[in-house]
Amino acid sequence: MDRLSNLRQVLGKKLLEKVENSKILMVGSGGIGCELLKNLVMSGFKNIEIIDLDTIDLSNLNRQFLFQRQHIGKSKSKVARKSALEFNPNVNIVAHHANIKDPQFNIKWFKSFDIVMNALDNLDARRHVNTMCLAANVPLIESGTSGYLGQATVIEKNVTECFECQPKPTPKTFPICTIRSTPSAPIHCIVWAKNYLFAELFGKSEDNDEIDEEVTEENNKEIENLKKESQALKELYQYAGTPEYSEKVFDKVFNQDINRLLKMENLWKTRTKPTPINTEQYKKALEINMDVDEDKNDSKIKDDQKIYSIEENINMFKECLELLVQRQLKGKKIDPEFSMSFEKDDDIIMKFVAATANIRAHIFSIEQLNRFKIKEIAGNIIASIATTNAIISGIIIMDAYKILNNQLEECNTIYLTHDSSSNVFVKEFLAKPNPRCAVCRKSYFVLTINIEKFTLNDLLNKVLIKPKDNNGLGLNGDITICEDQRILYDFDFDDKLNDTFSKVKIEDGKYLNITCDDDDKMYNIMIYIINDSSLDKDFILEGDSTSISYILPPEPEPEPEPEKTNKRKHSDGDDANNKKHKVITVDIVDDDDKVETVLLD
Amino acid sequence: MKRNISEVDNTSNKKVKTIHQLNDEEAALYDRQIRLWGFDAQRRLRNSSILIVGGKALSNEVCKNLVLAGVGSLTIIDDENVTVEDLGSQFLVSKKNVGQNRAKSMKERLVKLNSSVKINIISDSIENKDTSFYNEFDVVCVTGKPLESLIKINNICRKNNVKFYSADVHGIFGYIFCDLINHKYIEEKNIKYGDDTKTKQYEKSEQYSSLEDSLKYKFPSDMKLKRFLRKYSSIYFLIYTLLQFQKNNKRLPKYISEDEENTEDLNKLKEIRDHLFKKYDINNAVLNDESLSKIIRNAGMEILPICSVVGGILAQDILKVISQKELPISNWFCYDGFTGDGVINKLI
Repeated sequence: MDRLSNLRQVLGKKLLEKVENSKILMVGSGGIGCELLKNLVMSGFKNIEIIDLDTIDLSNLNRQFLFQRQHIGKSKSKVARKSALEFNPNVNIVAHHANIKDPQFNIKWFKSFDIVMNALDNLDARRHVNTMCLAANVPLIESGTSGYLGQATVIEKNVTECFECQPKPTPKTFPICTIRSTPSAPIHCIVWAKNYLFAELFGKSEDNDEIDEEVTEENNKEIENLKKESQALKELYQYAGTPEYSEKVFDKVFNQDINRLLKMENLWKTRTKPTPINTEQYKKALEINMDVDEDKNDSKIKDDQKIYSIEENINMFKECLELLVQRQLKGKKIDPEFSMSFEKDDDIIMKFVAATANIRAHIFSIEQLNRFKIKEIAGNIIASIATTNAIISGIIIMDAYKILNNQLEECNTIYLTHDSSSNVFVKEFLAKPNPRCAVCRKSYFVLTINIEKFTLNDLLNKVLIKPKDNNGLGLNGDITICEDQRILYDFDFDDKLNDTFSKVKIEDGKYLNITCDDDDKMYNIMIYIINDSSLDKDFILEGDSTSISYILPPEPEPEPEPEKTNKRKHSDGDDANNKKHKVITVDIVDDDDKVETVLLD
Repeated sequence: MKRNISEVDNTSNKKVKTIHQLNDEEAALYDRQIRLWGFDAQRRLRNSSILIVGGKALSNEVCKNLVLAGVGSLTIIDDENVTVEDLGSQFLVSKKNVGQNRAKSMKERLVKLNSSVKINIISDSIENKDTSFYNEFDVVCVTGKPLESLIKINNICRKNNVKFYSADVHGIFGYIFCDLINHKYIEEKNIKYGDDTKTKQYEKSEQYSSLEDSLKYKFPSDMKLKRFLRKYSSIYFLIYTLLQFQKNNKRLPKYISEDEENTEDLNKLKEIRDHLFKKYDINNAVLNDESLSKIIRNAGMEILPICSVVGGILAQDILKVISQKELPISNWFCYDGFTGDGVINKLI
């Protein structure tokens, strides 16, 4: 009897051996990562590398249980490693406090793993790992959680859908006129306060990713007016630091601009008219409530849940605006380009956004929200709990066992639902790759060369055009060679053909994207470059040239979604339950992450 | 956002406890979960008292989750000692604890997870505890006990109006049973108006039955196999057979090796199945012989990925019960970690 007795009996000796000999990469050691690393070290896995660029925050501790108070501010991956080793000292964990996109985590490194497990909270890194795993041909277990909901699935090149086979929902945006002229919901006022007012006063006004500025014939004139309006607000900056600044800003956005809107009578035929607040009312509010130093009396938790009166909000506006202007003037002294961006954990910024959102809501007769809720909306905070992460990370291990046991066909996409009626999990068979997917239908090759000697011409003639039966890729058609956005060669740009790779700065670890347009078919190839200065031949090409497949052009119009035919439902699911999971097929994020966070509905 | 619901009174026969309000520090720590279940639920958790019987791997998972969530107090009772095999799945204990009491050994790591949760350890057998002992708790959750003990504890809890759970993991299988007596809860529905969402609340209640009664559930005898399997999970019958085997033999089935079947235990399991299936005219395909030999291999084994799933669902359900929000499991959850099926069956 030993530590592994139970596992040996349940999994069998053979599978346990495979598990013990496997090498696992876990990307991200946050919510899912902490639970998953615990499971890995306790489930027979012995060689694990983990990577995370993040540091530990107080709000992580309700679920990221490998971290404690004394670890706040420290590297997630390093602390996670240390804590997990206490559970089982007999495993080998390498922790990287780094970005997975850093060049040292190249394809060779990815190839050294048997399975990659994503425990990520953002789309960008998920896309990157997906591409790397396809290029390295390593199975990837992808997962995500949000509140009570979660999911896990397996991605294997040429066998299953990849992360990009289905389009990802784009973050929710609002039409500019809704935000600037005709708000009707609390969120419109919050977006206005954060993305317009705060951004115009203190930020670089171009970061307006939540407002859709599409110009159509109807809104053309109004957008012109709105631009003038923004300009006029900017011009008030000359008063910054003077006692009248707050009053001028207030009068501009809560009086003049509202009066301008009121003149457009057709806007208010079906809507409730807004009520501007004039300077007199503004001054009166300040007199009534001279002191709203709230921290004196109440706790933050109470203040955050309170709905303030309009007078209190006006006082809050003035107080926060003055503090922020001081900060801005100080900053500009050092750097004239100084700007602030919205930060949900900055109390002054948060209070300013909440107060101005609620003043606007008051003006437009929209329900006011408390600061706790406004912070959640403005900061895109995603609720997150330990139990969901634990459940999903248990499923990930079971998937890993099946992959190592060559039972990929037994893996499913599993959704954890929040439905107490019958099926806690909804399963879907792993779908086949989408023939139109521009990511996984690409063919991936690794080319080892001496970059000082090998030329673009060599690549073209010795590798790309050369017939397949002669160790080439046998491409036939108009070839374009690019590095990212940079064109190195196409049929009417051959100036660089005789340059070496080194001269065109294609060094070790770089990728080349090659497209070959064969009139009716389009081939897409990615070549990963490894430099070997002691190479004794022209090149070594790794990859299966017989597998080069063409990509179907994108569909003209997305079909109105029928019951997905390629995803047969398991027979045990009743219909009511199957409908549920669609809510969570949006990309799920685990953490309080940046702007790319998708607003879940 | 904030609303006034009257405190649903499920605890009428309890001592009146002082209600702890959340402070700013707790609000910051629990921020990401308060956004899910609200301040009111978090305050209820903060004032709750839970008993966990048994301190093996499933219990480790449940305790970790409950402590992180911020319950008021957690009491763990186990009279057994940590073995070397335990180290393979019990992440709350370590090598130095081998030979020491299991419940005591869990405390050190649990305390570190959240110092505001009061953790009580009892290194005694639950069988030695009298009826009044259970009165302290809002929820009692029993793991690793045979059927007679489960029934006995369930009946005591019922009398004292204490919510009861029993749960176990056997290899790739797991189950949760609960008897919440008459459970009142709030159901929330989000209604969208354009870009605005409003939450509506409904007061509801669910009637549960005891374990003893639930195991006597009368299955319909004229159902076609496919329909039967859609309605009832075959994993339930597997758990049923296992619990009955343990009751009859005072032990779990014994696995011999990958090459040798324990035909004696297999036959005993078959007998139990056949007896039940004949009574309700259930097709043997619901639980075939192959599945029965699978139970032998998995019986009594705890592996952490399965404990992680079942312990996650169990802890979340206990939190649901305490916060009195949404319908908890009613009344069996059965899990097969290989197929990934996790089904709730109502056998009331």
